[in-house]
Amino acid sequence: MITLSEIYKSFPGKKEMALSDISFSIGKGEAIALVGENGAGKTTLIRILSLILKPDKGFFSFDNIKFSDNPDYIKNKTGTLFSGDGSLYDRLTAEENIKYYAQLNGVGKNDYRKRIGPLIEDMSLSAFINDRVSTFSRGMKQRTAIARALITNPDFLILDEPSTGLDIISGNSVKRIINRLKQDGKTILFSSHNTDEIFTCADRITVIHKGKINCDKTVEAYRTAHGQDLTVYIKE
Amino acid sequence: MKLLIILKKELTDQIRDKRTIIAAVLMPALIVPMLLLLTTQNISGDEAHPASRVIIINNDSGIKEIILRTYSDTQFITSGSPRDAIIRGEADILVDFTKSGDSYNSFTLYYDSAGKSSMLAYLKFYDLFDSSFNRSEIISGNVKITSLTIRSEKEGKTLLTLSMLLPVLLMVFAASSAMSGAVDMSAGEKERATIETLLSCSISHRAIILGKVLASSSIGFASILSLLAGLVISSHFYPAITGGLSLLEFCGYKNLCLTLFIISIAIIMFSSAGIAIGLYAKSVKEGSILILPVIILSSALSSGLIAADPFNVNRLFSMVPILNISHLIRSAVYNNFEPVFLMISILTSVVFTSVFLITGTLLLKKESVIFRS
Repeated sequence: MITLSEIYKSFPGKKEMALSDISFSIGKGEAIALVGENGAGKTTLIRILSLILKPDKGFFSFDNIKFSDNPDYIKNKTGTLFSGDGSLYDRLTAEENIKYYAQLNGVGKNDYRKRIGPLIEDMSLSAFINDRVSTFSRGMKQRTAIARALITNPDFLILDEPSTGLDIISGNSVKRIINRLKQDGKTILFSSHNTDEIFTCADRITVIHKGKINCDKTVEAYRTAHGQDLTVYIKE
Repeated sequence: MKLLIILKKELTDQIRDKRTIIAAVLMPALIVPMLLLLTTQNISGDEAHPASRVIIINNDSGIKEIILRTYSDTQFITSGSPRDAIIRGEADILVDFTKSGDSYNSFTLYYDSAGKSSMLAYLKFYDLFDSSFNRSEIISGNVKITSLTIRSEKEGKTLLTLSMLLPVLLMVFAASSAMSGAVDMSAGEKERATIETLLSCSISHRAIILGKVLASSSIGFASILSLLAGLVISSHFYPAITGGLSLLEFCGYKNLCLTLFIISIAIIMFSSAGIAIGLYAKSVKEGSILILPVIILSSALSSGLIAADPFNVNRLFSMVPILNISHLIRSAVYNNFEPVFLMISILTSVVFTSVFLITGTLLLKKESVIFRS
């Protein structure tokens, strides 16, 4: 479904490449855990896949469509949760945030009405859907942000550190959501530092270290080789 | 159109910020009338022409007669130490003189240059004595000459007040409200980390920029509307703040609407500049600092016109942003529009706005700028 081919990316003023020769594929319905230390290049890769950044060299394709040929097609098929507080607008309500994103991505009124109800139920947002985001806890913001990413009914979901900063209950909730989305046939790429989340939710583990892929194995193969030690490929 | 989605969201966001409502809408409506009220308290009819307090050496009756012929309300004061009386503020001016028989040879006027009333007295009496003793004799005939102003005193005062204050106030509030809103919508988007999500949506950069410019222009327009409404209402109940006639009575609906149209052009230009500056800035704080020189410049340029002749302005001014708009506002007050000046000013503003819009669009594409923090 998604193929990355020899992607390179550098930033002005930095000696080392942010990404170097990144090549891998993501099959339809697969869940890939992107693992690496801070500054490894995970967020840079996510930004490239979200079409916010352009690679210096290389390309990625979605359903055999190159990102440069039809970026809007890829944007419409992709939903992204960026790291942080879900990048929501504090003065808008949860629903207003979701609706704004839906409208910007061309979701029609009828489609929106059909999707919003089930999303509110799935993400347990009913109690605060009309409250302003400024009053939300981190967990509530993450669930709202995931709902926002799903409102366009994307085939491909990118989640950048979805459970970072969450308490145990909210973290478990995110894991359940990822597994449910997998069952629904969504293709997922998520970055995480949470071992339990990685081994519970992912089908494959891709380790990125200093901008390069050091390992790309199925979870079973990784577990067989290294147990649950995620530092094997990111040690100096 | 997607830019309308951006516009709607930004306006909803801004309106829900109490600080925006207070600073952009309430304050202009209240501050400007208050400011005018305070300034007019100091310039009431009586204080504008205060009666001078004069000490004349030896209480010379001839000089008293000359003075009273022109300034009948003059108070004559006697004092044992006249210089000290002036220093203490008990008198405004001391007139000393030399005389040969009945003829005056010279006058010496002692006044306090640090005192406003003393300075005014000095100017009055210098001119009086100069015209009484030094200017050519005029042979008196039977032709009566009467001087009358074409405007009534109230009209004259209102015109002066509005032509001096309105351009400055409108430009400063237009610049500050539009640009502050623009910086919040651009630098704020980066600071709140919502820009990544926005850029990941299938919407063009141009639509994002235009939507935000329209939204910040709406804030600026609301601010100006509030300012003018406050002025119309307060001058209706207390016309003294605008010089004697209310704003609506003096300008009329047509000129007020024209003023609104003219200032809208400036607002859009300021919004575009604000968006570009905000996108460049790392944070809202940095953006607010960067827009400060523009706000100060708008104040300086618009107040620089105060001394200019409104009927005879260099056409080159029409190509200087802010200056051209300020002159047009003044023209609206004087009810004296020059169509060519208006057209060139609009064109100039459109050019500058376009430059800012293009700059903003280019900045939104630049990775090093978007992720500058």
